[in-house]
Amino acid sequence: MRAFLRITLLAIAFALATATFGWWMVPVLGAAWGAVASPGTRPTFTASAAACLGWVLLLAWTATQGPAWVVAQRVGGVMGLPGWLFVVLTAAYAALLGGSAAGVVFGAVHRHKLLQ
Amino acid sequence: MTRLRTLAAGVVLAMLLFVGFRPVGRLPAMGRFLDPWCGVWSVATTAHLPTHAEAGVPGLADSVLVLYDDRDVPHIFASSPEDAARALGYVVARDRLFQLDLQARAPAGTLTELFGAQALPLDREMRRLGLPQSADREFAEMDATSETYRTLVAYADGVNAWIERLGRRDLPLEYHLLAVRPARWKPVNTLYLMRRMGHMLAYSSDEFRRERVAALVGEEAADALFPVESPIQEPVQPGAGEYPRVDGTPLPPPGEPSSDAVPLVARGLHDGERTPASNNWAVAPAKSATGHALLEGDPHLLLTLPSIWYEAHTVVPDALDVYGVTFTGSPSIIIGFNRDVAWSFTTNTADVTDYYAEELDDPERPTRYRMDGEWHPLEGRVEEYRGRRGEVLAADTLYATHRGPIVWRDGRALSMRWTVLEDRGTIDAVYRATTAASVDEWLRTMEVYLAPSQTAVVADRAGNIAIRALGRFPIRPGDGRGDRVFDGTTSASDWVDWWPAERQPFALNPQQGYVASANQQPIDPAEDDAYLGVHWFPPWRAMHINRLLRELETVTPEDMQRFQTDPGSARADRFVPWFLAATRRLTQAGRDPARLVAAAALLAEWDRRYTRENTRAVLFELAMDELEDRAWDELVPPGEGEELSPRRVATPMESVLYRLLYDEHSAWWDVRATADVVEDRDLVLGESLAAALERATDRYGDPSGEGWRWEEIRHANIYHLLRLRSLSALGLPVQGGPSTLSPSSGGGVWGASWRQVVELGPEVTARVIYPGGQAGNPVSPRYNNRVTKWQHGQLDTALVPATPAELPAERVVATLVLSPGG
Repeated sequence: MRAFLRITLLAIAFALATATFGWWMVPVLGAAWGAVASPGTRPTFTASAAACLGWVLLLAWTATQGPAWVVAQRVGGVMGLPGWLFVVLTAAYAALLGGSAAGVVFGAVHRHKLLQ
Repeated sequence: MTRLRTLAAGVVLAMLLFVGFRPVGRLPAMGRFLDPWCGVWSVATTAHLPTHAEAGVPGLADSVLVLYDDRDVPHIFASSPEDAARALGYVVARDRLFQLDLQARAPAGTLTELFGAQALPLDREMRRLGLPQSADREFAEMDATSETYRTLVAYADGVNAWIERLGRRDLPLEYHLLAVRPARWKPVNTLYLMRRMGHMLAYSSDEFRRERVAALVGEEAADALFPVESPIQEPVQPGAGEYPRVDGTPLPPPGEPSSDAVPLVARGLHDGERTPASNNWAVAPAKSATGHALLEGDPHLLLTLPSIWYEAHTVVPDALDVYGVTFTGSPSIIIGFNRDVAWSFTTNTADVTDYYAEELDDPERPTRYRMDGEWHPLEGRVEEYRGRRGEVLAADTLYATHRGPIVWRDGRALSMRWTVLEDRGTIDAVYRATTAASVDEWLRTMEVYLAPSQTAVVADRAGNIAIRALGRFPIRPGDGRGDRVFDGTTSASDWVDWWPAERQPFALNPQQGYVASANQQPIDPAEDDAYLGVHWFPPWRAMHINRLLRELETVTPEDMQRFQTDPGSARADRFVPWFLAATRRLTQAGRDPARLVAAAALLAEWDRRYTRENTRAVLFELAMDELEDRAWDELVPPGEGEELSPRRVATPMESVLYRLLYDEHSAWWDVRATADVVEDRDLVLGESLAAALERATDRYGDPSGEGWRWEEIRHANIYHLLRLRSLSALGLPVQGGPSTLSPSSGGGVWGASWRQVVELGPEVTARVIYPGGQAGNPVSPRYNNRVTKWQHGQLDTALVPATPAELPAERVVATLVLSPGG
């Protein structure tokens, strides 16, 4: 339950940060999470899931404002992808970006402790 | 293990950041692109027009109300023409910003700033032709206090007001793909656009085609194959004769190839598809079932999504009330109507381009050219082409003589004179004509129109109809012809004067009760044989329009609409009997090639109509293809191979081929590849038809199968401006074939870019459509919502309210209020 809450709150943070500052806040926030997360809370997974969820929330919001699925189909088509894969690509990009940033920083911060 | 995991995460992160910040290959930087808030996804949020919006526009003198009707047409109610232009700029930018940017960059030769080095050839072509330079010069010479100048500036204000208020989430999709920002709109961009239209509609290089043909078959034959007088006369200007009139005199035989000209041919210039095919006509009240003048217009241009046109209505009390279509980037309605007058254009394909072989002092670094025995300084300039980050990609030194820019062809320095580069006042004429109250006033306003040359049809509420060639047409020295490269070393080669206005093709309220044009030769040479052009489009469409109009005692607006996509073809009516008669003669003589009888039987079943379900049109088309291959095999350069369907240096118009049919034993019928046989007309017709059946069966299966249906074969293809398939409307089955009033060209990329039928009664009524939609946003339902109706030849009734109150509230879908300020 706590993990779920953690992911949800972090996802909201990812969504707000992206909307306010831009996509580059995903690795920044992921890194920050990696720095403060304690061992045992699976920070990489948490950041990854939260970043993914954060962007999915933004996509959902966009879908309420206009034909987001048509964007997926048309832009996916430009890139030679089916629409659903373009949605997956978007969410996966956030997930990998947030998760890898968290993983790198977490690993760096906790390297000493983990080696002991 | 943990170290490894951290290292792997680091590698992944580095890669993601790299593709996030930097474009890779043709892909944009992924970070910003995929950003679900202000990346490409955000285009979903601009797909629909907000039902109510307000904005400030600098320079407005008063508030402007814009009501969008349920066809997405903005009705602009302003208190001055300049405010109307500002509002038009704003609403066009709101719907079509990327198109505005792209269409201005194309003629300006700055596409490399969007696309990088891959656009260099296009940019170089525009700048070498001097298009941007000529537009810049015209703009610099404009009177800054004139209404037209102020209108151009006002329009730019409107476009830039929209650009300045663009939020991060408002960028059109294409900017996300290209990772660039829109450029500010300059008033001169409108003149660039006019030059672009000139390039599309009035740029010709018949001289070089003729040179190559002459190199292969001699001067006399070249003259006959690319004649100054169309062998079939159905002129724009109604003449005294019976039309159509066919010249069935024999063509001179092919001459010997000229050895010194063979290198010209070897460099190659092959046929390309260029099939503008516009129609317009007007019917006088006496022939109109409604008792009012009727006007039809359907200019055929390159079909694109979004369309080249934007539909709009601008109202300024006591000054302007005009409805129609504007080029995105033009502050004025180009084709349309007001309460009193309606008009439309076709291209008249007159020859307004000439080339002069120049003698330069130094071919590598020229500074002077010789004329009349004296050296004259060349005008030189350096053109730089910049890339996406402003870096210089290339620089060219370009030269010009007093005639115009120097272009290099076949190792020769040729200066070019072209009316489009000398344009002054066309935009002014087009703008002022929108307020004309009568045909006479419209024509007088258009007297200063210079280029691109057009044929205008105009009608008014008083019942007058007229047709007129618009533009300036040069008078050349000597025999007056302009289809050969002139000697540039003498000033005696220069243009002498312009055709006087009273001599230009024209008719006002002719006896026949209608006027019509379809890109055919404008004047019957029996009435005026002065050189106006060469290689005229065959008059098949003109013949068909004239036939349809002559056949009806009275014409209704519904008839006019039906005619626009009528599947009948004068070309088929003319050629099919020749194929069938040849078959009969060959059979009687026992000379019928294998499968000919079967092919002729199938062709005889054809009703000569290109309906979508028709299963015989394909056979005729392939037979025509085969016939051209055989008849014009002399135009295949040496070394291109002996097989059929080779690459000719040029293809004469089908009206010349039709003329050839009258000469049974012409030397042109002999096929070079069959050295042991001397073919005649009937044998070539028969072999062409038999070969067509073979090809059709190979390609489309059994003649009774679905594969022969016309809708399986010919389609309209409306490409997105960047030719991105997923943003295009492709493979649309349409009624019509080559030479029908709504022809479908081989690639299907040309077509009726706008269709209108206007009735000039006490209240003007109009039915209109264009293929596409008002929005440039490819994810908007307004992007291509008119395509299906267009495809089926349907029209929408235009709403033409004189005041905001006249627009029914239930038909208003969005409101925009523009206020002074910004």
